[in-house]
Amino acid sequence: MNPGHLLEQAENLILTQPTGAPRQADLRRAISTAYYGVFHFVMAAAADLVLGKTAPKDDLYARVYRSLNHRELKDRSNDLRAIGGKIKAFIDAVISLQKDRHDADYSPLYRVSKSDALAKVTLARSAIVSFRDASEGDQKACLIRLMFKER
Amino acid sequence: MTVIADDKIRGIVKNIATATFGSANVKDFLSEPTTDVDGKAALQITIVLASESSAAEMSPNAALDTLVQIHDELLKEGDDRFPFIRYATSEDLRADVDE
Repeated sequence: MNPGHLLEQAENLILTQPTGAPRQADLRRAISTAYYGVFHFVMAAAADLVLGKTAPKDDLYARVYRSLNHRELKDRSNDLRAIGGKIKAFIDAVISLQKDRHDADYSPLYRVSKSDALAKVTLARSAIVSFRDASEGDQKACLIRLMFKER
Repeated sequence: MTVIADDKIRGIVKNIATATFGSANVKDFLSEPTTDVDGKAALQITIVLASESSAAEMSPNAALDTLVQIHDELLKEGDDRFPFIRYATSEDLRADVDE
């Protein structure tokens, strides 16, 4: 799963309405897809850390990839934010996008504007850049704190 | 937990958003209590943009910088509510929703 392709898909949902304003269904899918772009990015980063970037994409890879979940991202956000710098920015974006995704997928009262949907795709892109720009040590600290519980 | 007053929140948002987007690109700032996905107290902040193009032409880091700066400022004031930020134009806020 290429996170960049998910973000492109999100942008297309916002911008390719042939006539008139974008439909709420498309904007909601764009918001949800933007979050999943970041979520798949972090799952892949975790698998790469554990197995190495050149590891085959086999069952073992899938097991590590799927070891993360939305709940852990949320519950460990304060711990992750404490890493500081670029990781702090990355985590703030994840928590923000996660709430939008939740509302977009489930809330009948949620209403999203084109401006907001575009801003959230931009936010998702910035989150990935922020993680990539973090030091290798901070990236590792973030992924290890995400994958392994403190005892 | 400290819950800072709405006018102070609006002041924080105004300072950060105008510095990030430019005063010509932002028209208003709204703040209201909300909850996160677990029901924990949070803030819903709406930044009212001057036009749709303000969002389309947003610099790559504008939304992220705004979010982090507002969150940091709230924490500095002792308010640990997470700021969920939405962007809209005045027209968006008035428009009917398609179904």
